[in-house]
Amino acid sequence: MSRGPAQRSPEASAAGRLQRLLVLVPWVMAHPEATVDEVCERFGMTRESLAADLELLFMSGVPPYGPGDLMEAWIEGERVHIGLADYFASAPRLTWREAAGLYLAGRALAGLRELDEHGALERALAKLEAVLPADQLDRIQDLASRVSVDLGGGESERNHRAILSRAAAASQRVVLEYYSGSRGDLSRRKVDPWLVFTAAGHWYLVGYCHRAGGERLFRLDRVVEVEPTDEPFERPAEFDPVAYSKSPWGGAFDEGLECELDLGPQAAWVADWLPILSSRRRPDGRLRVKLATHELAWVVRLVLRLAPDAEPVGPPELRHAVAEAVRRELAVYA
Amino acid sequence: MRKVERLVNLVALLLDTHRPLTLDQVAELVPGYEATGESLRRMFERDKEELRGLGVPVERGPIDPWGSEEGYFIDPRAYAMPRLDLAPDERAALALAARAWSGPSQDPSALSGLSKLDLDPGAGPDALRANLDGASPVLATLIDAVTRRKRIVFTYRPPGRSPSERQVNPYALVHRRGTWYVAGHDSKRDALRSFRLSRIESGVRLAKPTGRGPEFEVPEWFDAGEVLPTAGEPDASPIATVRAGRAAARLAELRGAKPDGDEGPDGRVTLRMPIIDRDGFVDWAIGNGVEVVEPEELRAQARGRLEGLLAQVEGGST
Repeated sequence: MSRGPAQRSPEASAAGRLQRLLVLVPWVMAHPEATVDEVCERFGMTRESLAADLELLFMSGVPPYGPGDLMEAWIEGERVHIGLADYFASAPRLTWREAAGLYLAGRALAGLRELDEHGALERALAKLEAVLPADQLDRIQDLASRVSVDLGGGESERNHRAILSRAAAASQRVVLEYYSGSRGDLSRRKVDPWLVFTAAGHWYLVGYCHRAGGERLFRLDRVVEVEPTDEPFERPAEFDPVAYSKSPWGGAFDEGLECELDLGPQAAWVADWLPILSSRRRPDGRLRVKLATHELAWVVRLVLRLAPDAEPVGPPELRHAVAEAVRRELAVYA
Repeated sequence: MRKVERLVNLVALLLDTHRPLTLDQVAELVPGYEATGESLRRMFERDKEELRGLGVPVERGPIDPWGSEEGYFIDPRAYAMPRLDLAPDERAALALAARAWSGPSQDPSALSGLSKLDLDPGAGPDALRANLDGASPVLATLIDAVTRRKRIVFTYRPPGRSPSERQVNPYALVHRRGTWYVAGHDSKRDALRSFRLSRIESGVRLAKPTGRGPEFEVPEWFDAGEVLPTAGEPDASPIATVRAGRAAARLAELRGAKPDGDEGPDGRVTLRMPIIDRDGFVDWAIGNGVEVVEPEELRAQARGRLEGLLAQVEGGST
């Protein structure tokens, strides 16, 4: 699945590795109980690269590089030990990029009043402002005045999102009235809200739907009503928010009827967002993608919404279903 | 001696030293500076720039009170990230913001700031994830250009037209409906334009990569919110008339639609609603079985798109 330009691994450059080391050393010294796994997870590295980093540190220090001048760095059992590195006791200041990213994201989210009811984010940002060097802060505030982020959605969507994210954080069941895009009808259902998230320009809720008896994905702008309940629930331990928000459509398109679409440039984002089975460039420049679904109606709606930039190629069922849906819609325009 | 080892030893030495060290002293003390003369100086300059890029402030100062010679040092107070002393809910809120910035990629370099603040990326209830895609390399270039007021060049493909090269003075970055836009003055068209990042086909580069200093001023009257209105301003939006079945009508009401008269004999309702997002309005209508009645222009667009699709599926062109 293509997802924009490849990430640059911090291993790729000496600067990236140094940057990590300057943060890793003080962090490990401040957390002497940290295990190998914890350090690897926190710094997004493998055991091998941690071992290589420790080896490098073990050979480094201050002149004249005698036994007392080199750092201590090794693994003891499952614990990581770093010592004799007092000059690295503090992490370096945030780079301007790190500070800018944190600040811009913070400002954007602080704009969502419903997510920051008690002003925790505003308070945190004020503390951050207080410690940034003056020239960095000036630059960041100038940038912030040139950046406008609207994560909002309409008024009712905001209200629903507020109730849902509160219920998700408190592990409380909700009752939803929901408009199904593929069937075009309304239904009420009890849902355990696991995670509220954004993807491809929309807010979504994923959770356990008691009506369907399984995990379901809901688009927040199709939620007509939400009622919180006081019934508690437990999010399944195997549900991983990071992995989920990376690929929210996960297994939904792995099997079922295989559909082929030719995507013009305006519809090419579909290839980035849906887990497609295969794709190839056509001589006319369009991208032919294949995806599998158990819900043909969903693909029909997608094709309509993108019309005429996503041409349904096959199978015949899909072409017929699209033709039928389009004729029905066009009838009202006659 | 590899470069990263040289740099680790260099930072340790400059942090640990009590007085500025001359370049010759540095070269003598830190393994890896085997060069001499001009090439040593160039090597050290490159290292110094690299460290500054990482936020490590290598400073210059006289090595003695007579100022006879200058040397280098790192002031530990300027180097060290001060403690933020955050309350637990503040820690969780900041972690949430950092997660939003790095997006689902969880790029470790985007999260490195958190470890500097001794924050846990997983702090707080993980029940909400916004995605701002802040780790995108194109966005990094644009942030740089907006901050330094540098003109940019890129290849852009507008909806339904062929790509062309644009030269733009980037005034602002705007995030709407999950996508970033850059708004600014398009030199060739001599007009204000906004460009969706996903439609930029090349990378973004600076028009004058080596030029120093700002290349434009942002006019006082410029307002990023006006170029790309936010969703929360229905009053300022033009009004459309639509017709929809009962369920889709409820959906339209969520977008601020008000019923206009009673249900028709066909069970459909006429509604008037604000066109909050012109780009996506027709997508939304034809994707949800909603008929656009007015404005005529959008009605024609909706009908034209549906007819185009019908021609495709009936034509059997593939």
